[in-house]
Amino acid sequence: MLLRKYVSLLKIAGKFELKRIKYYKIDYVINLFGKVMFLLTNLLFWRILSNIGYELKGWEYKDITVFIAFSELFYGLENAVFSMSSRFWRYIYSGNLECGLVRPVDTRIRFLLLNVDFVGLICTIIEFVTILLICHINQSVLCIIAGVILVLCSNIVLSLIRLCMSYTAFWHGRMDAISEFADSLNTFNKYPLVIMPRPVILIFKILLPFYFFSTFEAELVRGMMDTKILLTSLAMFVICLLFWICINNVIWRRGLERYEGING
Amino acid sequence: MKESMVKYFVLIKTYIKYYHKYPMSIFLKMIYLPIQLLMYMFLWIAISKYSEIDLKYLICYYLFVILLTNAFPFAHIASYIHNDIFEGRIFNFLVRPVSYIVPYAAQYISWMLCYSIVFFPSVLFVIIYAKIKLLNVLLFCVSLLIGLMIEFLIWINAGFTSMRIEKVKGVIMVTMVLKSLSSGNLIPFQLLPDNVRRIVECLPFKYYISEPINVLLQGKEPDLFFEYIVSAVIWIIALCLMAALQWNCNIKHLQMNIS
Repeated sequence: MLLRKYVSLLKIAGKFELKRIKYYKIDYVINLFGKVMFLLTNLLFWRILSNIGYELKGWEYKDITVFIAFSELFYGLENAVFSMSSRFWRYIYSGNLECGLVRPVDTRIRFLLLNVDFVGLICTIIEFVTILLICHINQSVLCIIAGVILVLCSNIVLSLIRLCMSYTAFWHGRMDAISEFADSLNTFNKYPLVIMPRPVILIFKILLPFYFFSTFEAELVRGMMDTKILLTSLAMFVICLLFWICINNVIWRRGLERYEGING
Repeated sequence: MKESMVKYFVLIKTYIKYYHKYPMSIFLKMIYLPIQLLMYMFLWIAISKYSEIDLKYLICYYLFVILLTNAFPFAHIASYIHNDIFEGRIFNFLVRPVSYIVPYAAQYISWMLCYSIVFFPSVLFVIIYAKIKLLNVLLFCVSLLIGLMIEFLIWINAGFTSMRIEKVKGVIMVTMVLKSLSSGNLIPFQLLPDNVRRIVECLPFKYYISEPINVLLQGKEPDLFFEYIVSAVIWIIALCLMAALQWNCNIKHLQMNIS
């Protein structure tokens, strides 16, 4: 029943998106062109490093291309579905939250669903498949699907972290700076995180999900790690996911108590 | 002239007071800018283990890349202009005694003044760490001021396209990508292939990041610096003319649309 409500919400958002495309065709075309340019720039950066002879230990250009494919998938999903979580504070600050609280669906999910960028989502999938096809990787489809699921999950964890930051608006009001800070967490998707020292990698696996943004997926698809590391890393990711779900719910409940307390 | 300067000062003071009221923006920059720098540092340290690179230069280079790229949410200039046009607020400015871009310029200047709290200690660190000459610091200040002006004008122009095509998400995206490659943000110009370098050097983006940083870290001959200033001034004039042209042509288009 609840799922049906979310699906109908998605349908409404989809209809709005189609109308938007119709009205602002030029913008969509330029945006698409920009996305292609962004990808080419990214590939150019690593091609330049590779041509000069600068290499990361154990990472060939082909591995980097797989990393870029997952990195683009992560950015794409984040921009298309989860980007608004860092702006949730506006919903709280402006008082719109009250309207959301009386609706039959979770306010946070509704907020995210109504801001889904469908064109961005489709472009991301096309981009991801194209990069993988171009770089001719002969890996099992199962590994790639597992990678995609992990990217989606890491996006969810990042979104939970951003929501936690947004909840500070319950106590401190306007939180422009938090949005900027929360958005900057994307930086950890720029390069393969194998460049980090071991203790930092451990933190990025168990406390913060940065290692799972795309580095882990690239390693998984390219078969760059043994089963023991794979399983321990997955266990760490599950701990990380559960940890942020708990934190998120605790802060949300505390925040709501304060919010409703003020109005009461 | 005097009256318009007074308006500028009043606006700048007002914005400084506003930023003073929300010190969190500056405080958070002090946290996440070093984190971002660490990413670049670890990448080049990892590369330096197996290749010969000038690590000291690259650390200083990327320190300034981070500081300058995150100095101001430049893309917001374009998106605010878009919002003004989209929601019709732009017409309020047509009856006001100040030009439309004055509040934006004042906001930009006042934020940069606040940002100096983060920026100057970093410059001081680089001066000591890389043993920079005083002359380079002076030339850096001049080139940075010019670069800031060019960057502002680029985003004003990007925002003004909204008067014609309404939504500017795509224009912002393209400008950001072009800036990322052509300003030296992604990789220093010296490492770019010759043909790519020749193209990006023709664009105005280099005046904000790459040129000021190289003036500081590597210095510049006086005659080359003079050439650089002349070409930058030509770009400023060209961008101002482009903005004026966009404004004059498109504001009529916009008013006709409304009426």
